[in-house]
Amino acid sequence: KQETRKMSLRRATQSGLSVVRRMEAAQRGLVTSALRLDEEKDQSAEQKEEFLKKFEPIGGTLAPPEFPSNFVKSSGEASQEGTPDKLKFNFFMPHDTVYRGEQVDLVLMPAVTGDFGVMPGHVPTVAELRPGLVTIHKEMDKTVEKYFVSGGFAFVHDDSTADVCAVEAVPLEDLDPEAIKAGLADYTSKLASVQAKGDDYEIAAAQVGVEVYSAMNAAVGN
Amino acid sequence: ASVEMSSPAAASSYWRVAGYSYLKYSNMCAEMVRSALKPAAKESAKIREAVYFRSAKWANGQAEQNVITDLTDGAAGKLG
Repeated sequence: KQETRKMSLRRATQSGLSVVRRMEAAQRGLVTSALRLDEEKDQSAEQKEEFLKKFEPIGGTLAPPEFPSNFVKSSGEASQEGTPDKLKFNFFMPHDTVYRGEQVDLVLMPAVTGDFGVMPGHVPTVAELRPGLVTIHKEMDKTVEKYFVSGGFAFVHDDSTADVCAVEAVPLEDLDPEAIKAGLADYTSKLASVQAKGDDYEIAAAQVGVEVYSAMNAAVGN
Repeated sequence: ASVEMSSPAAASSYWRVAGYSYLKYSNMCAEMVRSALKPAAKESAKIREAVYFRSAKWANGQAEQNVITDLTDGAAGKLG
């Protein structure tokens, strides 16, 4: 079914698209599913209202349910706003929260693939972290905090938000240099002795020990 | 679990090759970090390592003896 350019422009305008999309759609003389999706989004607000009305009398003490679309920003919004000047940083552990929604300048993270720094406007990334230091510059080079993480994951989102999820994150001051030196020597000798036996499982355990203690050793500056 | 879980081109980590899952590996790392803490912070951290659960078999609508399983020392696959 062929549509004229005029018809598609009218259609595009009616569905409330941004100017750019309207023009694009009109120029190509196309009807795309994107136009229809945006129409559906307008309807979804009414559908949500209806559902919430039905839910209210039987909800009791329950909080009204959330909808996926409440959490999803439409793809154009983030890029149109421009880069904020601070990074919104979340730092989570399973049992505790170090930071939530903290405004920072820079966060340095030890990824398995190498160290990298996150500033506002960083490309969206998922990175596996190795045992190492996470350095948080709340004010660039002025207020700096260091945490040693045992491992975990880092997520950078397209709206200048970054999350670090670590299993264990301790302030650098809480690490005991003597215990680290002893542990490193211990695991290094264990590795040497276990390699002779050839049990992969035990060798790997010793290697993990050497990896973690070496990282702590370097962090503490022994 | 299969040892080689990734595509032929990607190399597996040494712990994966040896038979550790990521969970075991990361929990082992966390345990090592906790044991390197200064005494003050260490105590509250070590509590997190306790892994135990209580279970009971039921028969005829009655709970029989409670069995407490404590995995604190066994979970991380420690050496010696």
